[in-house]
Amino acid sequence: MGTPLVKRLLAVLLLLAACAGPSFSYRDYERKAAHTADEAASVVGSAMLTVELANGRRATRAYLSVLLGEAESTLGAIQQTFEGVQPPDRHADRLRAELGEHLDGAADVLAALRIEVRRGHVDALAGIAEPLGGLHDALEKLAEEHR
Amino acid sequence: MKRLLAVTLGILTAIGGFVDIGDLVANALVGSRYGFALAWVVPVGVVGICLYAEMCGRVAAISGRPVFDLIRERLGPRLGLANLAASFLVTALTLTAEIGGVALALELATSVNYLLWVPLVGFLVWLVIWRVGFARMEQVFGLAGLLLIVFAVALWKLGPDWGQVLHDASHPALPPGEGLPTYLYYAIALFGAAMTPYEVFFFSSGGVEEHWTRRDVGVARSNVFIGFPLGGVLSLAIMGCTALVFFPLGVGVDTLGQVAMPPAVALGKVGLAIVLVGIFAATFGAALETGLSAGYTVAQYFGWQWGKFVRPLQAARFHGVTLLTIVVGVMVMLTTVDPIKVTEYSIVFSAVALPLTYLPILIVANDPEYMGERVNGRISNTLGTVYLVLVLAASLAAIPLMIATKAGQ
Repeated sequence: MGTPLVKRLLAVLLLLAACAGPSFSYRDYERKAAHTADEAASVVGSAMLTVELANGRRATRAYLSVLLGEAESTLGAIQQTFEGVQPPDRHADRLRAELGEHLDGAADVLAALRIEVRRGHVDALAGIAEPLGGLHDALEKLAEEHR
Repeated sequence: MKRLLAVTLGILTAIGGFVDIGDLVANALVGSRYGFALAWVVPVGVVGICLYAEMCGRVAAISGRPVFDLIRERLGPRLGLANLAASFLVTALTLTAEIGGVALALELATSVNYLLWVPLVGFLVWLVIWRVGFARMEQVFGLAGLLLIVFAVALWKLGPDWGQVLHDASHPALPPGEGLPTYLYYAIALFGAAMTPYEVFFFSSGGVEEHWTRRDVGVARSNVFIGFPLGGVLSLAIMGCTALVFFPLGVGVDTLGQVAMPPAVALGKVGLAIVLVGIFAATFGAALETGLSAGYTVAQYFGWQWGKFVRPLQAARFHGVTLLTIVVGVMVMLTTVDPIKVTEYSIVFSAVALPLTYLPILIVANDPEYMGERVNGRISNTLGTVYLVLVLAASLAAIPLMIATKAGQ
């Protein structure tokens, strides 16, 4: 059935596989949070550009709809990955809550944008997108502080 | 006059046909992430593809046989099989990515989910390969691909500081927060996108399809030495557009929709319409080329009748391989795998397979038994050897860098 060493290695591998994105220290968790914030800021920035296109009537509704739908699903994937990371201590819990708040805020705005564009309300996008600027800056600041 | 027209048409087709999903994604992604700091890779890749495509075109024109056909004969079945396996797998992966690219372009135009387009795209690719003549197929999609010139127009309209652009391109520097391994990973990806193996096999087999003779060496060279570099300029325009629109905002490009955004920013709905048609044409044309190349490589290795210059019934196994590769590509796309990720992997694996593609070409192009007095000259051989060292280095570094950087993250 294999040597004890092989069994031990297998046990370690199984333990590692059971954890979703483990973080062994606060510093490690912080880096992952900064990376997540960076990626989310990129998605939010892209959505802001898309809304600018809509404002200037420089793109079709179909195109805007696809872009905003993609932004929402990309952000969802980023959020899900980060939420799967085990925070190592209470300090990390606070960081998780702070970043989670920004991600939730951005996800809500992107969902609202997607819904409105698919209803054909292109003129309403600028108003809905107003919080994105602040969320973008907050995400970038968080990434900068914890890089 | 007729010959001049043919040459012009060939050049235009080569420009339009140069850019495929790999070039679109790699150049846009790199521009958004590194600005102009990796622009130098494009001319390096273009010189490499010109060098080896010229050899392939010359081999086809002089010997009347495509390179793959000669590789097995010259190097034996074992080395030929290694070459076949590497080239076929990379070509099949590239075809999968191209099918995804066409479906994504249709989604951007209609907002109908790309997965619903994938089976139709696969069917249309097969139908065009089955029914449409080689020259017409190449010209229609190559010329329609020229619409991607809209990226150059958009770049000009965006009004960059050209002095700064030239400075950034000629003094490459890592942007803050970026590491050297990721920079090198993307350099290899860009290089792989420019030197995709299917391009040389398609060019060589296409020469035989069009019945090139010794007199056509000039046509082949004009296509390669004028058409491909101008295609490279298109690649740089794509990179330039995303460098101007996304890089200053720290926005990374990871969807085809974002690739199409700069022409919309610069030119509005007209720019968007043109770029979407251009992306459709470029990716559809490349899907045809990769589908055919998959059939060419297998049929030429096994010595089967191949090509569109004979009726499909006479080349049933060639068409069978082509159809099967398209079906597998469609099925892979329908697993909901991200088409952009497939594209990124296809260009990195292209880089891995490069030595197996290009070394045999260099050997065949130097064999007087096939080439007579038209074997490689000193310049071709010197540059060819330098590029072999480059492709070998890129090939060896690609996978370790992919693992170390988590595929460029």
